[in-house]
Amino acid sequence: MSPEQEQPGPVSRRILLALDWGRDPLALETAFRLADVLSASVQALFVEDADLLRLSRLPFAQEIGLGSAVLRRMGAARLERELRLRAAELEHLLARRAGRVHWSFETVQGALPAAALNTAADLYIFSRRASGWPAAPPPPHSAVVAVFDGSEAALRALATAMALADGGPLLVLSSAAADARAASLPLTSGRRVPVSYRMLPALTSEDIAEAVRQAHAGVLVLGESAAGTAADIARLLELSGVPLILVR
Amino acid sequence: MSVVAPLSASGLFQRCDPDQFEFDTTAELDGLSGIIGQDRALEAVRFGVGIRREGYNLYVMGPPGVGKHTLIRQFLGDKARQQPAPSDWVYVNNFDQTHRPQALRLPSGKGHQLAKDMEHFVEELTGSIPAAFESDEYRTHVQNVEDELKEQQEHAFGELSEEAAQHQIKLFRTPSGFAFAPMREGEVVGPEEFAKWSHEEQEKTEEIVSNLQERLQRIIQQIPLWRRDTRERLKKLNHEVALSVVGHLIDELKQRYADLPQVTAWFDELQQDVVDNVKDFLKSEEGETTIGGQQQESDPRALHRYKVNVMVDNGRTQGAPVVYLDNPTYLNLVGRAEHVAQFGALLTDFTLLKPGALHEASGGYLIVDAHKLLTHAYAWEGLKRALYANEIRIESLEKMLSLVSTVSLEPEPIPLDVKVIVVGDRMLYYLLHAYDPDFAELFKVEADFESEIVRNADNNHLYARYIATEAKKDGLRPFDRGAVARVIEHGARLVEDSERLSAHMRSIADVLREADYWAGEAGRDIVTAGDVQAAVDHQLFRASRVRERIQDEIQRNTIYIDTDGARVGQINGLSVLSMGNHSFGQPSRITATVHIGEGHVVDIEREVELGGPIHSKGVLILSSFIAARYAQDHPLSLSASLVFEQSYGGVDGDSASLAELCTLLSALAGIPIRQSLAMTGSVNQHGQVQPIGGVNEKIEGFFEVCRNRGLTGDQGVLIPASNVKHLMLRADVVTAAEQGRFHIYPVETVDQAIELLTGVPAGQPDAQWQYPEGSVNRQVQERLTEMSLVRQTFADQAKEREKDDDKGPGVKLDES
Repeated sequence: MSPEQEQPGPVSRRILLALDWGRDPLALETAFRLADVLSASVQALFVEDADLLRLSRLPFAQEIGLGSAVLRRMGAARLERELRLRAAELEHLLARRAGRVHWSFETVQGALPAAALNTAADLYIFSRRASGWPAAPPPPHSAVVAVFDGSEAALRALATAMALADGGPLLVLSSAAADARAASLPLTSGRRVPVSYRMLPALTSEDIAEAVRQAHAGVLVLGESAAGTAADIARLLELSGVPLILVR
Repeated sequence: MSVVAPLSASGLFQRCDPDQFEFDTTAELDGLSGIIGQDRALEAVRFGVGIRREGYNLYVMGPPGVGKHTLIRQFLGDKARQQPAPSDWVYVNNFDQTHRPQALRLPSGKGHQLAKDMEHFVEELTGSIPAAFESDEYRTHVQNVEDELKEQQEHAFGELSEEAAQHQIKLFRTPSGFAFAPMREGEVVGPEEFAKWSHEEQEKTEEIVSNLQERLQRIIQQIPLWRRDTRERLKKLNHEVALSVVGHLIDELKQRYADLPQVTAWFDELQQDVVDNVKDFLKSEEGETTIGGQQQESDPRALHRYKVNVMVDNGRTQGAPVVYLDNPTYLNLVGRAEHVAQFGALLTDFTLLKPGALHEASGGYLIVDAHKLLTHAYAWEGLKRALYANEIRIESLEKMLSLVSTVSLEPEPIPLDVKVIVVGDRMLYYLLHAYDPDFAELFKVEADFESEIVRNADNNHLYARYIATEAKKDGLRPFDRGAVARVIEHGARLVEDSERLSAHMRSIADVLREADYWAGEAGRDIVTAGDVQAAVDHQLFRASRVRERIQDEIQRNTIYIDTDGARVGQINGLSVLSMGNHSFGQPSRITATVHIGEGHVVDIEREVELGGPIHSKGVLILSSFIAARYAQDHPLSLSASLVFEQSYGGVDGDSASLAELCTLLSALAGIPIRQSLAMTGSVNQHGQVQPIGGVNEKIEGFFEVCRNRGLTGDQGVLIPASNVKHLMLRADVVTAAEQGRFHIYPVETVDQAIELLTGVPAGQPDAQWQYPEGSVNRQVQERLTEMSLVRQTFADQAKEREKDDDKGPGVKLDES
């Protein structure tokens, strides 16, 4: 019996939490906070990287230790075992954090973020992408960055970012064409949210990622129109180094 | 020999004439600044305090209540006021060796100032250091340094990834490291496809991957070095920021204490410590410390180390300190390290060091009571160590005795410059001198207080001024001249001497306060002689339960004392009982029995170990007197026994030896002794009567017995003539003597005494050493001669029997 079946009740919205083997407690926490705010369920999707699995089956596949720099044989069996263990660990974490939120956990093979986007949801949360040398996690109470391109989804993204900021700093990135300030005005009335605005010449992955880094942001929120393709999202994840929330 | 006449009433009490005083009441008199009759002690104190040499500490001795403390405090108070206030001493943290707190000397009053300055310093840093570390400037610097590291890493990985991409190879992160894989059309080449590649292509790819792996290994190995470099740069940045904040505060402090090089040197160490431990000032609201985004551990008591523990604060001291230590324990003398409980363990640091009296008195004077000092464990040893070393070392008793070896504080010793005045009784002084060789080294000056002073006109006036001083000080009513005279008379009675006055001013002060009370009860504004007498009488009454009980038992014939008739070998001796601070006289029946023997007088008190050595000495002296006077030409063939009847406690002193001798002579001569008389006095080997103590109480004790039974006019007391000057008898005794109803006979020789007691002449020896017929001495002499002859006869018969025995069995046959 899945946890969802154990806790009956009307669930109208769904958050998809896309996870890989990397540890990202911030993404997990964000998912449940939003689930509380939006009365949504959390569907966790652990994606076993197909590329990695293929790599591990190559005859010359070798791995260089992260801390030790030691070269060692990279076997498929060991990788699969490591991925299973990580999935079990994440599921355990979810169970501990969930509280009254409806949630489920599923493991698939594929590539992120495409594998996640194939599943229907109102909101996608992608954990920090592990690439290059591991970076330190963002400090607590870091700023939330929202991208506003004037679309309906961007408006929802802005509302989501506002809820996430919860009184903390919020940076809204917008293109010249979109009046982010006017759009956010109704959302900020009656709230004490320190919102700052920054206009970018174009909402490219590189520019957005650079703005995120400069703001030492903790999470990036954007509507699906600003996100672009799965490859764009992957690129944005890699460049920004923070969890990404995609609002449909 | 002339018969001894009783003393006249004027010889029994030396009255103080009130008319010698020119004042009406003591309200007219000036106060007395010093104390009476202690010139020798005062001179010793003046010398001891004045001489500033090692070991010249003082031992002030004398009975309690003579004003030792008053004089010392008065004298030291005056002296200390003229001296400069000594330095302050503080303990501060020793940044190199925390367990050895550093002592700093500061001018008087500056210790507290330094403590306040340091509190302000820490307050300033608590605000300004976090502000500096939260400033945009600092954050930007930190960010730049961290970004540089990040960029360095990203650049290295980016370059490697780009190069790999040129060969259609991609760098992947794995759960525990990195791996390279060939790519085709955006996907990793699978093993099946790779197997289809040509052998050359496979080898080439593997070689490229191998090269890339080697480079990646080098990058990974380089990363810790980059990070270490970043940490160093951040540390340097933190030092610079901290120094920018602390530097100007330290400069201000150094300017303020520029004339104190020891303090400014400590400021340099302080600055370095703040810079090295800047994390301690950066506690966030959550109780965590962050520098450059990294959490740091901080000790909640960490900032304590910048406190200043003021051990000696002479900021408000006028002149040199004069400290009286009421409870001279070891720790109260040398100070202590207190502890606080933290997580079940007892911790201490320099802020918990507490000063002892030696700290407070350094540069001045310390007064302690000898008895208290000697009865507190190791206090005397601690004081001696400090005086020998001329420094105060705070050390726990456990450590001093090597009972524990745990790490503890070893504070830097503080130099000691103190004059110690130990106040105690004479016995302790002599014992310390005899048994502690250090004592003579460390306490070279003794100030010996008199317990009595000469009674003369000058001292009478000083007494009057003393009464005036006490009356003003304690808010008592003025004393009129009659009351003053009565107090002086009481002062003479206290020392049992009509020619001396008591220097025990506490006893006099007690009488003054009580006389004031009785004057109040009588509704008078001025204290009169009657009030003083009431005070004395009430004091006596309050302490008289046992005395009255004994008198009662004598009256009821439970204790046998005859006051009329005559008895052979029985006399009324007199003794003094001391109960607390009250003494009273009591008659005791002394009896003697004689028989033929080997010349021994048995002291029954001594035989049963109830007699003290002085009493035994008295008995041996009287034995010697009898042998010398009556047994010049034959052996003393006397065995006698002497006893204090109904005495169940110890007996000591030789004041009954005259009575014992007289009762022995009575027993030998068979002449009865008048029981209406009692006697006291000691006797020497020549039959001369020597003075004794407690003469007034003894006379009054027998007087009370006689008065209770009715004074007959025959009753009286024989006292040594040399004790006449000590007579200060109660008014009722004096009155009875005046009326001829009670008599005090001063005797100089045993012959005078025996004549009075028996009514028979003692008799003077002629040229052949023969006493007149019928005299006491003649009868004693004859009895002893007779005893000697009888004994000789017995001895001869015994010799004859021995000879008969030596003749053997034949004699036995004859006898049979």
